[in-house]
Formats: sequence, structure tokens, C-alpha cells
Amino acid sequence: MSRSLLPWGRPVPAADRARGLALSRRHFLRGAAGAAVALPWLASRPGHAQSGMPHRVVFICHPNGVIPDAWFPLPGASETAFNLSPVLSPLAPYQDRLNVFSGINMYAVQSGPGEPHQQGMGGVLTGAPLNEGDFIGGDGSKAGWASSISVDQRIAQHIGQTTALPSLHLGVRCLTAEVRSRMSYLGPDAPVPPINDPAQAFDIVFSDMGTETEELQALRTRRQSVLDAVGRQFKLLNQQVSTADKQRLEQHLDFVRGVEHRLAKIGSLSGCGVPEGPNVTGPLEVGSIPDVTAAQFDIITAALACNVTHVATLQFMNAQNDVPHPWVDVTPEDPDTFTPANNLGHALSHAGPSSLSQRNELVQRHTWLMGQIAGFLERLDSIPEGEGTLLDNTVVVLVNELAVGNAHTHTNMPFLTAGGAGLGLPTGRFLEYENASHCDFLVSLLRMFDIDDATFGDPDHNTGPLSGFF
Amino acid sequence: MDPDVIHIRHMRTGWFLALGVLSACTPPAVSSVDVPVQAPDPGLAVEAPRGRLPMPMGNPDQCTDQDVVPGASYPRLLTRTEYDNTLRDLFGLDVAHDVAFPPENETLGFANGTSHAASSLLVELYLKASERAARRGLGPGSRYADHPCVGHGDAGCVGDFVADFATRAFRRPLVDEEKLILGRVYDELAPALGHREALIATLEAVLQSPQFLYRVERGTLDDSGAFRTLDSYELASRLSYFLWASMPDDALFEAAARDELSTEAGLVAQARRMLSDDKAASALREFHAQWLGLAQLHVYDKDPDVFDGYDPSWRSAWADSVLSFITHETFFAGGDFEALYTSNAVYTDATLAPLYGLPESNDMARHALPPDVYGGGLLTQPGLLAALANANQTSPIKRGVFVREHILCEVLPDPPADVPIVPPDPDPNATTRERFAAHTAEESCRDCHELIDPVGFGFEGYDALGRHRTEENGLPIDDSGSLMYTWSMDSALEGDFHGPVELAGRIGKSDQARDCYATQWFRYALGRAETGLDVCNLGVVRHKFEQHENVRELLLDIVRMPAFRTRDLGEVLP
Repeated sequence: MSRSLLPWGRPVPAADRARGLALSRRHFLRGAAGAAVALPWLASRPGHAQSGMPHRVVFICHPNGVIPDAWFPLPGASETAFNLSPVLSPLAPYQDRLNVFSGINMYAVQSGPGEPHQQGMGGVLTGAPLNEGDFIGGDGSKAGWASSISVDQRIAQHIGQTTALPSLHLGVRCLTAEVRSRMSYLGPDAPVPPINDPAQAFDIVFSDMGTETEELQALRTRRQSVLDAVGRQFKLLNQQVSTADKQRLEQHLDFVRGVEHRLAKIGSLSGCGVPEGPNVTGPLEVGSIPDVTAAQFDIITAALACNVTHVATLQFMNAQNDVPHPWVDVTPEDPDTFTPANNLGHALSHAGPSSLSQRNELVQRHTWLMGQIAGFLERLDSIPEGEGTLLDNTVVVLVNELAVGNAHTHTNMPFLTAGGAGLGLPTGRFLEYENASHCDFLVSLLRMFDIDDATFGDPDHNTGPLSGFF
Repeated sequence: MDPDVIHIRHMRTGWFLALGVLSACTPPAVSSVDVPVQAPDPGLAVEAPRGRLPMPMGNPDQCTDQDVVPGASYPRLLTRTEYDNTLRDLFGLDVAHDVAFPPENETLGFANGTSHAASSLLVELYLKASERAARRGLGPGSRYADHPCVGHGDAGCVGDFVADFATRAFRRPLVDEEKLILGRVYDELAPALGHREALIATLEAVLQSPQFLYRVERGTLDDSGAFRTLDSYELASRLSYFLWASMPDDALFEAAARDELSTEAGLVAQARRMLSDDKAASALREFHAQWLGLAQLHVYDKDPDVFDGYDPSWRSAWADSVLSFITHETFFAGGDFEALYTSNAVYTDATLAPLYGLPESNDMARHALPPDVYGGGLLTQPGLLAALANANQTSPIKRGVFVREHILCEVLPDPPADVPIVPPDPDPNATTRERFAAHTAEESCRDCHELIDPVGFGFEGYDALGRHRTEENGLPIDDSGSLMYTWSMDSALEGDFHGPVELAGRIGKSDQARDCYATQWFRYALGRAETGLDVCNLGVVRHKFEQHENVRELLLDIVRMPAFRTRDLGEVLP
């Protein structure tokens, strides 16, 4: 199997996969040049929907855009024969499980208010422009929250009732509470916050699962009695307020019902070991990002494997963050021009094409992140399920709120999927589109979950599923 | 469109056309100016006086006691700070539930507005926090630890205890249905769990009830039929969450029970008492932290490669330093507003003192620094200057935007579409000013940045840690700045300046900054934007503030507003 090889034939030690690869750009160029001579031929895999297996989806967003020529497959690629770029190289072991997309534009987000970071974050999963509002963007633009439901929540509505948590939303140092830090929406102006602290996430997902049956039953009885009273209190209050206020309170009551739903579902798990709880000190500190990333992926993997939820999102920091990545071992392009002061996320993403050292650093940072995502795919692929693995029954979707970081564009978005063969998705492909709308990409994802929603997102930019997607 | 909105727009456009500024960049607006305006009384609808923020429309001099213009009311969810403070005052104990709630969604820069709403995560965490708080809240040190009914069960005693607790938690007398709902939790659980556990579970139900988590204001219909007047308990909560960011204390509850808050004198007497309590100082910090956006400090680290020895503990120390400055220099020093922009005090602790070459002290200690360098009050606070900077360099843009939007209540226009925004590359042979100046000299950016950068450049004498400097990269610092094209066109405010001390001196005397400060408090107090109808609310408050220039009196004037003790009709309530 070709999975253990990088495109240019260098085996990837497991340890490297886990911590990400830190190759110098010189390495990349040499590798790429070599690869151009001998393209590896990777057969794509047909999708084969498995009956009886739960279908899952994970959305991962890393913001601030990318450097396209270091991200997209190298020139000369075809749908089934392509070389992964330097940034995507850590995903090479899973190349036949990937679909890399190009030519998808986020037209829908640009018609509304806001600046590109805001528009992109609020629109990438909703397929819609932002509402008007008071959030001030990096350039002084103003915008509100997203104007409609996001694709993850649309899927959760459809498949979430069978699990304890309809969806799980985690973050890695996604600290602010405004439009640039929210991609998931229950509906207009209803953002879903991510959990940044793995201990808190673990507590919500698993804390009650390790409890002995008898003790669990007592806890459930007690909480049910308490929440029954809370529900009655809501009903009592709802009789006294206006329709608008009632909506606000009923939304809250829905969340209380969600807690009850979770409590009723726990304990019905079988054949699923509860993983050890994470132990990350200072989960919001920059230095903890690698540990938090690993812990969050562990939790998502276990939550999917244990069927606690079938829908998860992971937000890597808020858009326009200025987070440095000191743990990424950057080999300077040219030691004379290397400026360590510039390793701040957003500022770094702004570097012009002539700023080789900054470009190099950003490429290596993105490569590190892909190493983490490769580690996540490895986790999913290590869990057998049905005729395949958990990865086959999960489609992992990687998105960004921008296309090109320093130009703030929404054209040619760096989107990819991994896994999902069990959902009928052929993989191992490089799908090149010409100016396709990202609404169509979202509609295609919905279709994988048997949701036929031709009006999702902005109807003006929704023409149905992408051709050739399935 | 409403004629008054059009009127305002025309005035604005006219000013800028006259000044020759209007181009691709629209002139600065004042936030919320486009709220539909309907004059409450034709006699009041005169043109906004020149030199003042133009909202609300009308002449406050003509307001009478009959001019009650209520605002919207909606159930306001407790913020994290309010939740913790309320538990503390409910139990007389910091119950330390150790559950970190997600940050509130902001509205107009404040955490306590309409955007702050429940989420599935928050509701899960309420469950966990209430379980811990209820358990600890009946333990040692609590107001209830020695209550006879906590130790042993007796039906009547338990009923009274729960009613007493829930009355304080809901901040008003219970209705019978609530007693039944809560009593049922105890009755259901006591046989299996025993008295104490059932009591704890009952308190958990109280702490997750919307009556605890939200502040709901119904009021009663006024005889005029035009608005609803809040009852004494609702007013007690408005007062306590405004001035203490917490629930009412026993004295305030007693005043409510005697219906003393229904008169302006009674309301103001309580407000005065509350302002002299330590809880007011902590609430004051809460307001200012939100207004100044100090949460930014917790999101952005400084670059340790540039600032040797950087430690994340600097972030909270900076915020504490700025807030210590505000509470001590204005609030505790009598409340003089102008001191906010003229004081030369800086507060440092052991963490910060070495950065600024000041003597170390364990707690925040006051240092009077040279007025020509640090005499700009808020605008020369090192913590704020650090917050308004990038990780590795200053940010003239952040500082310029801050002055215009936070201090002067202007809203900067959007940049033209399709302009790639690429900040300048760092260059060891140039100053920040030179790099940014070249950057914004591009035609597409220039019009808007003329409003921002010349203000921010005036702060270049302070580095990204707020330290005074005269050189950058061996090149001399140019700290000349310029504030032009303000909303108020106040000639005493506008003009060229050198450094933030000079700028702050003008800001502290300006109508626009004073009006803005009052407006920010108004938004925080009522959880909503001002509208054109608020002439006899905010308009009067600004008018009085101009005369007394006292922050304590400003808060009392907000309490005196008709809008503070009324709400709109909303929909017909049973």
C-alpha cells in the first residue's frame, strides 16, 4: 500500500506524523522537483456506502488563509494522479482517502457586510452573507453574526437525535466571542461556542459514563427531578412575557432539554472504553496549543467511536489571531533575512510574496498543522468498524475562512475532505472546479447525509451538488 | 426613511463636503445614528446643538417630569461576572464553582447586552456549576451553614427555607406555583437521597431557573397607558446590577419591600449608599474593562523574541493597572471626569514595576510620574498602550481607532471593497511611523486612514509595552499627531498635537468625549443603544454631566432617568 510513503518516496516515521513534519523549504523544493519527474500513481477509491454503520462528520477550520502554491497539489496533476503539496505532505499516508478541491469560491459570503475574515468565518459553513451588526473587524468594517444555520447544525438536526450530544464543538485557543471566532450556527444570530479546555470537553462528553450503573441511575434520577423543576419554571415564566422574550427563553429551554437528552442517553453505550481524561495545564496559553490540539482530537475520536455524537467541529483559534507557534521548528530560508519577530499568526499571513522567510515560516506552520490532522486521521483509521475503519464512516472536512492570507480573498478556497468512503464518497481525488460556489460544496456534504436541501445557504449561489462530487 | 435620519445624514455629508474630505471614504458616523427617530414631542425636536454628539435629537432643557420615554426591556442573562458575584452575595461565600463559562457575545462592546444568550454549552455548565455551588453553599462559611433547616428535615421548616432562599435568588417574592415546583424536587428526592441531598438538589433547581439566570422586568401599566413602571423589586435589581454587578443586599431588599424605590428620592438614596460600598468599585472596573476592551490583553501575548522576559502574567497585571488607575483617580478621588485624561498616576505591582523602572510593591501602588510624559490619564496608561499594540510592535492604527471609536464614540467607515489589506513588512532601518505612513499613502487607503493614522502616530512615543521612548531602531521618534474631521467639529478638540498628553488634555475638556463617556454608561446600564427618543433620558444626563463633570453624579443621573425606572409596553402582558 502506498500510504506509508510521501510522494517523493520518503517514509514517514510514526513519531513524525504525530508531531508534524518540520522540513525546510529546501527539502520541499528538492522533493517536489524529484516528484515532478516520477509522479506516483495513486488509485482513487470508490465510495461504498455501508449499511448499518453510523455516519459521522467532523469540520476543522484553521483561519487566516494559506499560500496557495504551497497548499494545492503540484502542477501537472490530474483527478487521480497528483502530488500533495509541501503543506499537505503529512497527509500523504492517507492520500487515497483524501479529496482535495480547487476552484471553489465563497461568493455567498461577499454580498453582505463585514470584512473578509468576518465574512469568511460566518459564511464558510453557513453559505450565506452576514447580518448587519456591531462587531468591528480588523479594518474597521462592521458586521453581525451569520444569517443562517451552518451545515454541521443542519446535519445534526438530521442525525443528532440518536446520540447523547447532537453535536460537539471544540476549539483550540479560540478565545473571543464574536463573528471571527464562530463558524457553527443554530440559525440566524445563534452562534455555537466551542469548548477550548479539553478537561471541560472531556467532562461534558464522558464524565458521567464511567460511573457505576447504580450510581449513574441515582444521579440521573436526581438530575431529572431538578431539570423537571427547571422546565416548569420556564413554562411558568413563559406565561408572563412577550412573544419575543418567550423565544429567547424557549431557546434556553431547548438547551435544557438537550441536557436531559444527554443524560437519558448515557449508559446506553456498549463496547466503548472511556479514554483517560486529558491533563493540560493552562489550556488557553499559546504554549499549550500542541497539547490541547492532541487532546481535542483524542476527545473527538472517542466521542465518535463511542457514538456520543456523530457531528463535531474543531476551530483552530479565531480568525485574525496573532498567535505565534514557537514549537514549530522553522528552518530559515535564508539565515540573513530571518526575522523571528514576525512569527505571529495574522501578521505572518499578511507577508507579501517577496517575504521569503515569512512565507517559509507560514508554510512550515501549516505543515505542522497538517501533521496534527494526519494524526487525527490515523486515530480514526486505527478503530475498526464494519468492513473498514472509523475513518471510512467519518467524513473530515477541512476549511479556512480565507483563501489567500495576504490578499484576504475568498477565491479558490483551500478545502479538502478525508475519509467518508462508507458514506458513498469516492476518495483519492483532486477535484478541480472552475469558479464553483461553496454553497454547492456544502450542499454536496448535506447530500452525503441524505439531506436534499437545494436552498441551503444563499439561494443566489446555490446550484445544487458539485458535479463529479460523488 | 425617517426624515430625522435623513436630516442627520445631510448634516454629516454637508460638513464633509464643505471640508473637502468626502471621497471614496464616507465620513465617520456616530454609532446607532440610524435608529429610526420619532420625535417624542414636536416642541422638543430642535436641531442637535453643534459640537455635541447628535443623538438624541431634541433639547434636554425642555424636558419635564411628564416626558417619560421608556426603552425596550428583554430578559437579560447574567454575565459571568454577575453570576459569580450573585452566588457570592447569595451565599455570603465565594463558592468557587470552578466552571469556566464561555465568554459573552458582545453588544456595542459590552458583555451584558442582547447578544449575550444561552448556548447548549452554557446550559450544560450551569448544571455543573449549580451542583457545586449548591453543595458548597450549604457548607462551612455560608450564610446558610447554621440554618436550623439545613441540619434536619421538617416539612414546614424546609418549605420556609427554600422559599427564603429562592426569594433572594429570584430577587423578588415567590409566587405560589414556584413554591410548589421547588417543593416537589425536595419531596421527590428526600426519600431516596435523604434530607440534605434533597435540599441541595432543590437549590440546584433554583440556580438553573430562568428566574435566577435572567433579569425579567414586567412592570405595571402606567395610568397614561404609554409605558410600564418597574416595581420596587425590579428596580432593586436594576440598581444592583448597574452599580454592583450583583444581586441586591438585605438593605436594598428591605427598601424594595417598603416600596421606597418607587420615588426618585428613595431610588437615589439607595444608589448613593451603594456607590460608597466596595462592591461599586468592582462593578466600576467591570464597566471600564469592557468599554476599554481590556479583554484584548488576554488574547494577545507579546512576542518574547522582541520583549525579553515576557511572561503571560503581564497581561492581567496590565488590566489590573489600568483599572486601578480608573477606580482610584476618578471614582475614589471624588469622581472628577477630567482626571481621567489629566492624571499622571500609574499603578504597578511587582510584575510591572521593573518594566517601567519603578519601585516594586506587592500590590498595585500609585506612582506620580512626570506629567509631560505620563500626564495624559487614560491615554498614557502603560497597560492600555500595551493592549493597543501588536505583539512585536506598536499599532498606530489600533490606537487611532481606539480614540475615535471608544473615546469619541465615532464609527469609522468601511474601507472600499476589493482593497487588499497588507500591512507593511517590518524594516530594521525605518520607524513604525515611516512604514505605516508609506503603507497608507496608497490612494485607496488614504482617505479613511487620514482619520485614523494621524491620531495613532501621535502615540509613537510609547512602545508596545507602553514605555516611553524617544528612538526606534536608532531613529528619532516623531510623535506629532493630528485629530481632524471629528463628528463635533470642535475647534478646541481638533488640530495638530505632540504626544497623547496634549491630545488627552483636549479630549478631557471636549463635549464629544464627555458625551461619549456618558453614552457608554447609558448603554451598559440599560443593555441597549440610545435612540433618537432618549432626549429626556440620555440627553438630560449629558446636559447635567457637562455641568458637574463628576462620574459619581453621572451614575446617579442615569438612575434618575425616566428610562431607568420604566420600560416600553412590549406586548400586552397578562
